[in-house]
Formats: sequence, structure tokens, C-alpha cells
Amino acid sequence: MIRILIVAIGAVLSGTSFAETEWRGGSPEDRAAIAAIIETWKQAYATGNGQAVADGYDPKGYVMAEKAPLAYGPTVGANLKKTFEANTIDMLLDLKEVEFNGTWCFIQGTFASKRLPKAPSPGTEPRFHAGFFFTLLRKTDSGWKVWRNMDTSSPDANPLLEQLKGRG
Amino acid sequence: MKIFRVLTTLFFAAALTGESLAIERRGGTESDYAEIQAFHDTSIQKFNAGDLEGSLADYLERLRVLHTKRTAITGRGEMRESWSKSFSSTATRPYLVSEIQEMELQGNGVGAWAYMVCRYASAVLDKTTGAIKGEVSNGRYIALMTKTEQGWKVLLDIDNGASGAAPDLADRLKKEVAK
Repeated sequence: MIRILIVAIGAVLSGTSFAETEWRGGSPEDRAAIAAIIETWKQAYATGNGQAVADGYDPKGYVMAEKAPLAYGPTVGANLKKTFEANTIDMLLDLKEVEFNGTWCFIQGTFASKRLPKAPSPGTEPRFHAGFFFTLLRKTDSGWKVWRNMDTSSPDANPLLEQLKGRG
Repeated sequence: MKIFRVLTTLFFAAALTGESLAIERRGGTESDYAEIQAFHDTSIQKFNAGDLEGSLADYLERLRVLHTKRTAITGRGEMRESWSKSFSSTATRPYLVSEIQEMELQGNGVGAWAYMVCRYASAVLDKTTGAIKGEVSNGRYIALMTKTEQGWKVLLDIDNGASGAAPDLADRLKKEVAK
């Protein structure tokens, strides 16, 4: 369940930078909209506001997280709420590329997350998860919304993982 | 009435095995859907036949493949290098069973995009005996494709071992290789 939440967050990361992101297609407005979504999620994540993340999903959008069942948009907020209530989660993202085609847009990159219970038992160690993510968004009357989302483990995210571990 | 009984039986059989009876399809015509289904089917056939060049031709030059627990593959050159190791092995060969769950198109003609969400099972087979070596894994993948003058090409694919995604395909794979 935690992994669903982590993937649902997708780009909700502190320290996200677009400096090395490859952008293809899309109007300046579209690009700004995607950047704004990521910033919204970043703030939502930093403040533990799961609903704000879920609001970025199309109602029929869903997450295919690694080793977890599917989670549809409406359940994402509830899942995140439970996670944020019980855990502190820190996450980093390296957004590799953003590409538009008409009313579709995909983003992909690497992520690393660290989860620690708010009330840990003695000796509890943080849990880390790192890998690729791929998110397909569709432009709707309510703006760009997440339509399909998948993550998978990869050593390519190790630099982010080390960065996260270095935060203490 | 007989048809009803058959459909009911099929429905419950599917519910028990976790298999879906219908593929979700959106944004295209029957012809588009048939084209994508054929692209998927021949891609799997080429992969299982060890046809490296044929498999590479199913991808765009600027492809990205994000395999679980592996580093990213970017471009046909990297893919040739990565896949040729598996395809040229004299001892083993990869084997894949895949089923489309959902397909959707954006636009039409050259430049259109489409994606497939598929369930899969995969294994490594002994080239001599055909026996499965190691575990049969299963999960899901998304392939994002674009239509070119030469037909559909995969732009990006990503897979993961989603929990309970395709145990029925793992069983199917075992039966297929046992034949």
C-alpha cells in the first residue's frame, strides 16, 4: 500500500529541478501547467496533503505500482491520507523528460523515497524505495490530469537514494 | 438460453482465473485496434523466436526501455547490446507471454500516439531441452507507441512485477513450454 502511495505522489518531491529535463512539444502554457502540477504535488507532499495529490488524478486514472494492486484516482487521496498520518516520507525526483502530443503528455524519470513511521518502535529503520517512474497525463476540461502511472525498481535511481540517505 | 449459459460460464471462469474477457479500447477505429493487436502479437512472436533485428525494428531509434531492476536502455544501439546477450546465448533463451488489457489512441495517421497496458509472464528457457530455468515472473507493462510511415513503433516501455498481475499467464507459459 505504501508503494501505491509513493507512486501516486510521482513527482511530488522536494528538490525537483527542471534544469536537466528534456522537454518536447507542448505550448508554453502546457509546459507551465505540467511544471505547476509538479510544484503543487511538491507542496502537497511537503505538507502531507494527500488530497491535493489525488486531485491531480483523472477520476478514471490509475496507478500500477510495483508489487501492488491497481489503485484508481479516487482511492489515491484516501491511501495517501493514511500514509501521511502514520509516516514521514521524504522523496526526491529526477525528471528526465516531458513530451507532449496533442492532449497527451508523458513524464518519466527516477525517484527515491524514504519512509519512517511517526511512532517508530525501538530500532525501526527507515524503508527506502527507488527506481523509474512513468506518468501519462491527459488534458481535460479541468486541466492536465494523471491518467496512467507506473514505477519500477532500478539501480539508475541510486544517486537519488544516496542523496536521500545523506539527508539523515 | 444456451448462449446465456455459455456466457455465464465464461464470465465466472474469467472471474475465478482473474482473466479479463474484453480489452478496453478507446480513441481509435476497429482497424486501429486490429493493427495494434497485430503489432503486439507479432512483436511477441519475434521476441520468442530470438529475432533480434525484427524486435529492434519494433522500437523507435530514440527508444527508452525501463526494465525492472535494470538500468535504462536508451536508443537501438544500447538495446542491441543488451538484448543480443540474451538472444545469442547458446544455452538459454528468453520466453514471453503477453496479453493486452487496455489500448488507447491519441490522434490518427503518422505521428499518432497509442499506449497498451499489458499483463505478462516471462521465463528463461534451456535452449536444448526447452525446460524453464529459474522462476517464472509475471507483472504488467505499459508500451507507449507512435505511428510512423513504417507502422507502429514503441517509444517507451516500462514493466514491473505488479502483485498478482498475471499468475494465469505464468501458468499458460508453463503449459506452452511443456508442449
